[in-house]
Amino acid sequence: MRWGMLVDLRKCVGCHACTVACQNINGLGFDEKWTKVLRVGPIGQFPNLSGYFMPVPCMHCEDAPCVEGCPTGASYKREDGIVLVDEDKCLGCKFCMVVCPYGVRTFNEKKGIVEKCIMCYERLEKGEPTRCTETCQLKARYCGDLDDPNSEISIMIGRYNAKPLHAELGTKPAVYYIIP
Amino acid sequence: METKQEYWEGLAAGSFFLVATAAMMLVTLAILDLSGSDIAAQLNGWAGLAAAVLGAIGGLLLMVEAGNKTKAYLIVANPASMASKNAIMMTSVIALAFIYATFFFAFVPWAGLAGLRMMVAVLGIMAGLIAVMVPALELGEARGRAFWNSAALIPVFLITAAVTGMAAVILAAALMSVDGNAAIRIIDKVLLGFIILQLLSVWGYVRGMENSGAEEARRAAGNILHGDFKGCFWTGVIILGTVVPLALYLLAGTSVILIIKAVLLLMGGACFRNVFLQAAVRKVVPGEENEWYSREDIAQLAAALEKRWQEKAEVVCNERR
Repeated sequence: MRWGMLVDLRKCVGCHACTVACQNINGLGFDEKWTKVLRVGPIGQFPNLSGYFMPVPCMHCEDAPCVEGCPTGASYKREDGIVLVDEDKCLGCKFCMVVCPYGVRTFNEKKGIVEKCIMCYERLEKGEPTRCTETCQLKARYCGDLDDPNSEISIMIGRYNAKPLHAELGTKPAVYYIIP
Repeated sequence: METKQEYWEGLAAGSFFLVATAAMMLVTLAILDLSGSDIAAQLNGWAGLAAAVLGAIGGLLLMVEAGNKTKAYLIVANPASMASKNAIMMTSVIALAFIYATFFFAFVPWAGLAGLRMMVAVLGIMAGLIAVMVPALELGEARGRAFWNSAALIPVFLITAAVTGMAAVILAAALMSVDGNAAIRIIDKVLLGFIILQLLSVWGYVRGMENSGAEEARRAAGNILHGDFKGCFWTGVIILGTVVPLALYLLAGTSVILIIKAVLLLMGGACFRNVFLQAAVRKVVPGEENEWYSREDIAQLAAALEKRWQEKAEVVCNERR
């Protein structure tokens, strides 16, 4: 069992609903984004221009540099592949932010600790999709078991040749993208 | 996209600099002692204590950088991580420098135990060398920051730490008026070789990264050579921290010249740590080049938004009254 996510960039219109839904459900401030939406492009030359939007949550890497690097063991990986931060152990040294190749961790000034996307693990355990997946009006997000070859997400990854971000770094992310 | 590595800033750079200097001070003092130099009896006690204090200040700076200071003791809880290893080595250097220094104060009961002192000196050399190299391995764990991903960072850190460590020992000797000793003069000559090595290795590293295949490494090198960090690099590291001390070797080695040289080298070492720590930008995630906000930008936006909400709320309240 390894939870993963697939984002169909052909469908995403950059509405930021996932960002806001994530902020709402996790009680985050305006400046804390556990899933941000970036604008790629415009690519090409007028009039042949293209572009797309790229939601970037925590990649929940199988070989996570933040887990390896954390000096207190606060960053850890669950058996189902979800990478979490133990608030009681985090001392806020920010080393995980330094080593994360995707820049998806945020520092909570009030608590003095580092926070990140938790892939709504409590919802997944109850059989519900992650909040960002649920809120996406264009159904651009999918979540499911990457280890199950018959799961919707695995089939979609295979069918559309979805790729993770910066696979060359060897972090083996659990978030895949269908690139337009 | 990042214009600099913005999570670890001046405090972390200061910590790396102070701990590296303290570690190589301990190594230099221990080698002086093991070589049987007569100056060890005069110099090593206070200079050893100074090394321990410098290391401790370095540790404190790292603690100040942490958001949850009361849990700082947890930093050694995961020895498999390089950051934990760094903290362990930092603590070892501080403890060994302090223990080693105590052997030179007559009122300490173990002051006369030369064999034990030599053993501590050997341990100090080993711990010092490892403590200087571990930060390079620690930074190398950042896979998205190719500027740190070269094995050459280890010798670069070792050489620059050797320069600042020896400069600190010479400074201590000059301040204690024992800089006329032959051993200090030898250290001064060895230091000359290390300054030349520093110039070659730092310059070579940055130039190598400028021609690297990784875009983020080229961007980091560009930031250093002609970007935001050019002032700190050219003025601090190269001119004042390396070339001017080299030029001072042409003058007579008076105490004043030694002090000026040592201070410049230490300043250059601090600038080097600052530049190398902060210039290492992260690999760009597609789209970040369009929509990148630094922490300061986000804080300003959040403050502006909050202010606007407050103003609106005030207007609504006034209307209701």
